[in-house]
Amino acid sequence: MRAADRSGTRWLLAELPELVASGVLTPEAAEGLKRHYAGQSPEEPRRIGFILSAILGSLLVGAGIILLVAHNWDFLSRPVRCAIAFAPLVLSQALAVFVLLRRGESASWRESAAILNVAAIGTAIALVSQTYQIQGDFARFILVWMLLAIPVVYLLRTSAGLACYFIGTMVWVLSSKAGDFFGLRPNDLWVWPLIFLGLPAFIDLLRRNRNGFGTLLAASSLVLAAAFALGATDALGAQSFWRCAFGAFWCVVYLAGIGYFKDWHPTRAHPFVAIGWIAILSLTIFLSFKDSWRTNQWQTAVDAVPRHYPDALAVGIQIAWVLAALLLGVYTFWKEFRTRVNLAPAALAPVVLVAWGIAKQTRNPLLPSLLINLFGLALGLYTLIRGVRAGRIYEANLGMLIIAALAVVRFFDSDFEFVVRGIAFIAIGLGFLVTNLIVFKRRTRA
Amino acid sequence: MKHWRLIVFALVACAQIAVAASLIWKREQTLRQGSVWKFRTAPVDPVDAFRGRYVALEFEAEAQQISPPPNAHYGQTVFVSLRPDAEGFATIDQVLPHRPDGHDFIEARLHGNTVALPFDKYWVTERDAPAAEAAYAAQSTREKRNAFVTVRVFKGDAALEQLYLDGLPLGEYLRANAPK
Repeated sequence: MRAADRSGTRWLLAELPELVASGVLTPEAAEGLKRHYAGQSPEEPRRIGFILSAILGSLLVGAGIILLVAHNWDFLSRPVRCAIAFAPLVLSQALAVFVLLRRGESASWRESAAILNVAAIGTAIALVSQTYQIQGDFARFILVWMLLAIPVVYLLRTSAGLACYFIGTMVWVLSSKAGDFFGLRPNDLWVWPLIFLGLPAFIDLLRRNRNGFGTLLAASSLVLAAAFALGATDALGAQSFWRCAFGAFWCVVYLAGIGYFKDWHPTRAHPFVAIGWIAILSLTIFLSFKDSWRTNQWQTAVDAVPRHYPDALAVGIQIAWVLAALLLGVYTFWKEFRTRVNLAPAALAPVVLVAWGIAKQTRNPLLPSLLINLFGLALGLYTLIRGVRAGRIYEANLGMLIIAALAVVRFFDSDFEFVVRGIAFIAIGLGFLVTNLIVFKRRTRA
Repeated sequence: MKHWRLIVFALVACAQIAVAASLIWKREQTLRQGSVWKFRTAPVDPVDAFRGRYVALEFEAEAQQISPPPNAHYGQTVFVSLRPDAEGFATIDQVLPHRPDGHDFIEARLHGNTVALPFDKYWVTERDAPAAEAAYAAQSTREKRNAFVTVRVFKGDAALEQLYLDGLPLGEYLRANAPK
């Protein structure tokens, strides 16, 4: 049973006596319902609560240890300080061995032991560095820490540890701007192999518990890390192509939310759907400005044909994201055609690709921005009509919101008179009111 | 099933300890066998923001104009050999693209016609940090050049040993000048 369904079950079971008393249900039927739901792993909620508190407790203990040792006691000699640096590491390793031997089946033990060990690795390196005034660069410190932590993620099968690892790769790519990495410059593309190191663990997590909270935590961290990795890749590859690469990236996130995680909750969509909507709409609004297509990057050498191997690889990764979005879009369309999911936001990927092609050919910022405006308008109208037809107020309002947002930002880069703006705002406001009225009436009629 | 996990974890645990231990091993070697060099700090910008739990250091040697190796690019790792000036402070002798012979050289980064030394933070205790920062700023000005650090140098590694203010190690200086 999904974690999110349990509150509904509890509500239903609490309602049973009243339903029996009012004669809606027979006592036998109520008893049958009780037996049915009682049989579905009553221990589960307590287990998740325990795992969560175990993770939180371990994190607090880990953070406390870090703060204590970071105090840098100068009244202790170097050997004593080093012993203190190694103590949490060795203790956490002992705990991990105990968990592997005796508590391998308990998720809360595994998660806690893994988190403590991962925190202890960083603590040991940081404290030794401070004690000896060692001044390595931060990116290298994070890299060593993550490479030492990733085996622990596999051995202890931890979702919180995996989330930490993905966040670590993100911090690495954010701090790796300076310095060589295996003698290669530019070096940021190494973030992709780093992310890939965590992927088998992530796939295993999806197989074991696709709709679990730990999986959501790891998946969100993965999206965050991949977004920053893609940002770094865009800076190395065809720079103007970031519009297509990021458009595609958020479409993939959205499609994963509506396709792969569609049984997350009977009434609520997966958080990826909301994240995808927000990102796709933000990007649509941004690219609807004419100025966002005014760039001199069309002419740069990197943008034409990348010369060196890292640049070409970066372009390859950018194109791979666009291809992934298109293929996933087609696949989801084919699979989910009959269901009631809204696939329209994912059309951003091909639309931006066409707009980018036009911009590159014509060097005219007007045409691509016009195309994006049309896409935004169509997306808003389509969502509005879907919402009205199905009697879903939130969806109808979302459609109105898209249209309103587009209308409002168009006032920024055009010089209409105040009267025109006033009338337009009144029209949008009336639109909201009328939409809600229609949807509400339909619902009451139905 | 259990056993292979344990064996792999034993290897991982050894690696975790080895990484931190190797840092200690390398530094101890430098501190024991390295030769001592004094680096005079550069005047501190008085508006420089408070840095937290370390004193941010800059050195006169970092302003010294050098001739970079041919075809060297910005940020490249270079090897810097040292020579003492008339007052016994370290100055840069040669900047080379490869490891020179002998022990007295530092691995540094090329910044155009200067080099960035691999030590720029002096960690102090949380309690002493504000006083240390203020004392360093007072002793390392354009008029007063009373601050320097001692560094042990051994085969490229440079171990920051002590920050001296007005001829005293930082801890002693702070105790001698503590508000009564």
